Amino acid sequence: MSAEISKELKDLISKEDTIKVIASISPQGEVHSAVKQSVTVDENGQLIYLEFFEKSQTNINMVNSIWFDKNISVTIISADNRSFVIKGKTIRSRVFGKEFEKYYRLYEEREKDNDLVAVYYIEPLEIYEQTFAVQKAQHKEKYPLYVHLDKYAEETE
Amino acid sequence: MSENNWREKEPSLEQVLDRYNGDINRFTVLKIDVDRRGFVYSDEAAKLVDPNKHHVEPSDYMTADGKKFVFPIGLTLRDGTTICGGPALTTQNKNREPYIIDADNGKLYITDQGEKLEEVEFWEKPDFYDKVTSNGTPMWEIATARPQRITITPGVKCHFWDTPGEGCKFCALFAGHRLDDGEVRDEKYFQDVTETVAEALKQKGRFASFHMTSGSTLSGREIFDDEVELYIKTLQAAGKAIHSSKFPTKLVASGFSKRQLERLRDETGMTGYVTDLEVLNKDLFKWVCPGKARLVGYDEWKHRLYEAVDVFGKGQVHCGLVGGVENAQPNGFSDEDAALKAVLSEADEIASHGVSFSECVWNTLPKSYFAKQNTPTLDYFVRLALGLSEVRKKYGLAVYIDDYRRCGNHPNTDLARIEKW
Ligand code: SF4
Repeated sequence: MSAEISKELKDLISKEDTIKVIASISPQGEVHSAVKQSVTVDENGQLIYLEFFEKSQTNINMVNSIWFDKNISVTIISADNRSFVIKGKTIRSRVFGKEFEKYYRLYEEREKDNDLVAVYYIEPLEIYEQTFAVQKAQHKEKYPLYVHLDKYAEETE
Repeated sequence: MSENNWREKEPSLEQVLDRYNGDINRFTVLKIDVDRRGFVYSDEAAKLVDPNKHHVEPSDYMTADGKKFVFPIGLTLRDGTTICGGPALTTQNKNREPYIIDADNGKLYITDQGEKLEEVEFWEKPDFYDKVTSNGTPMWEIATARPQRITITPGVKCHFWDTPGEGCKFCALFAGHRLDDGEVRDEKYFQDVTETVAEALKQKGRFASFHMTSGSTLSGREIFDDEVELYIKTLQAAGKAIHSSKFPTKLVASGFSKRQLERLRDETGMTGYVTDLEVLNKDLFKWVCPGKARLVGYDEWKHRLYEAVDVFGKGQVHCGLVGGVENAQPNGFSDEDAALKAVLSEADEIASHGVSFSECVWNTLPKSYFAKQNTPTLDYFVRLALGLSEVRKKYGLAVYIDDYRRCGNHPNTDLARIEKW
C-alpha cells in the first residue's frame, strides 16, 4: 500500500539544509546507509533518488531492491533536528531516456563533472516522524508500562 | 499455437524462478526467456509505436498478423535493462509460442497466455537519427544506437560466406549482404562518421560507449589485415569528435593477431575487444563455424583472445558465445547437463587467462542454417548465465565492456550489475 508524502515533508525534502540518508540492503544481506542529498520529490509527488556512481554500494543495493523486492528507507533530518522516515520500495530505475536526460542536464549545470548514472523511483510504503520529542510522546502513550519504576517513585523530600 | 506440447515438457518461467530463487533475479530470467522464445506485438501494442519518438529502423518493416508496421528495435524493462532486437530478429521456430507484447491503458506489457508479466517501454529514438551530414547522408545510415551506445558497422559483408557453407550456422546477421560487395568506405564516409558521432554526443546523457562491429574481412597481407585497417580508419574518424585519447569503446570483430591488436590499441582510442569463439568446444566449432575453423582454428582463436588480454588488459577482453548452440543437432550435446559441464569447464580454462564472456541466448534466426533447430530449455540458459558469472568471479574479472548498460544482450554480464570490484 502506497503512502502519500505530505506537503510539509515535501517542502522539508526540498530544503538545502535538510540531510537525507538512504538505508538499503546489499545482495549479501548487509545494511548500508549513506547521506544522499540527491533525494527529491518530483512534480507528481514521487520520491526520486539520483545516483552518480555506478559501483557505489547504494547503487548496487537499489538494484538489489528492485531485483529481489528488498525495501529501503530514507531518513530526512531537518536543520532544527526534526526527523522523518520514509520506508519504500524501489519500483523503477531509469539509466537512459528523455526523463533521465532531464536530470542529467540539471545536475551537470550544477557541477560540470556530475555524471548521473541512474534515476530511481521509490514508492513510499510507510512514513513516520522520528523526532526525539515526538517519538518519546508516542512511545509513552502506546507502551505506558515500558518504564523504570523509579519514574513512579514517590517524592520523599 | 505451437505444434507440440512444449509447455508440458520443460520447466515454466515460474518453476525456474522458484528453483533459482535468490540466485538470479526475475528480470534477467524473463529477459532470457523472451530472447529464447522471441516476441511479437499485438495490434494494440503496435498502435503505440510513434516513429517520431521511438527508435524504429527507418529501412525496415515487420509484418504482424498480416499487417505491416514499423517496428521498434528494443524494449526497456523496469529495472533499466533492455531487450534487444525487434520481432524480425526473433525466432521463426514454431516449437514454442513467442511472448506477446500487449498494451493496456497506454502501457506495454510482456504477456504470456494472457497474463501480464512485466511492464516494458519502447526505446527512444536518438536525436541524431533525423539529422543529415554535410555530405547529405542521413545519419541513421552511418550509425545506429542502443539506449547507451552508438554503433557503427563499417563492413557490411561477412566474407566467411564467400566459400559456400563456411558461414556460422546460427548466423543471419549478414544474410541480406552475403552476395553484395559492401559499401564504399572512402573519405566522405569517414567524414560522415566524424559528423555523426559529434552530433550524437550533443545529446547529453545518452551515450556511454562507442561500439563497432562488422562481418569478417579475410583479405590483406595477413588474414583480417583489411578489416583491421577499416576499423582503425573508422575509430580515428569517430575519435576526431571525442576529446580523449582513450574512451569507452568496444570492438566486436574477428580474432586478430597480436600485431593487429597492438595497432588498434596504439592508433585508436579503443579500450575493449570482443571476439567470438561462439561455441566452447573444439569439435563443435568446426561444425558450427566452419570458416573460422578452417582459416584460423579453435586453438589459435583462443590463443588470440589470451594475447588480447596482454594488449587491452584483464576485464577488457570478452569472448562472445552463442549460448545454447552447443546443443544443436545432430552433432551437439543431446543432454543439457553434459553440455553445461563441458561448456563451463572450457569457460574456466579461458577465464583463467583473463577473458570474460559475452553470451547471447541462441534463438533460431530466420534465414540461418539452424533456423529449424530447437533451442535448450530456460533452465539451461539460467544455469549457463549463473555458471559463467561464477567462473568470471572466480578469476576476479570485472565487467567494463558489454555490461547491462553498454550492451544489454548478455545475461551473465547483466548479473554483474550488483557485483562490486
Ligand atoms: S563471423 Fe560468423 S557469426 Fe560473425 S558475421 Fe560472419 S558468419 Fe556471422
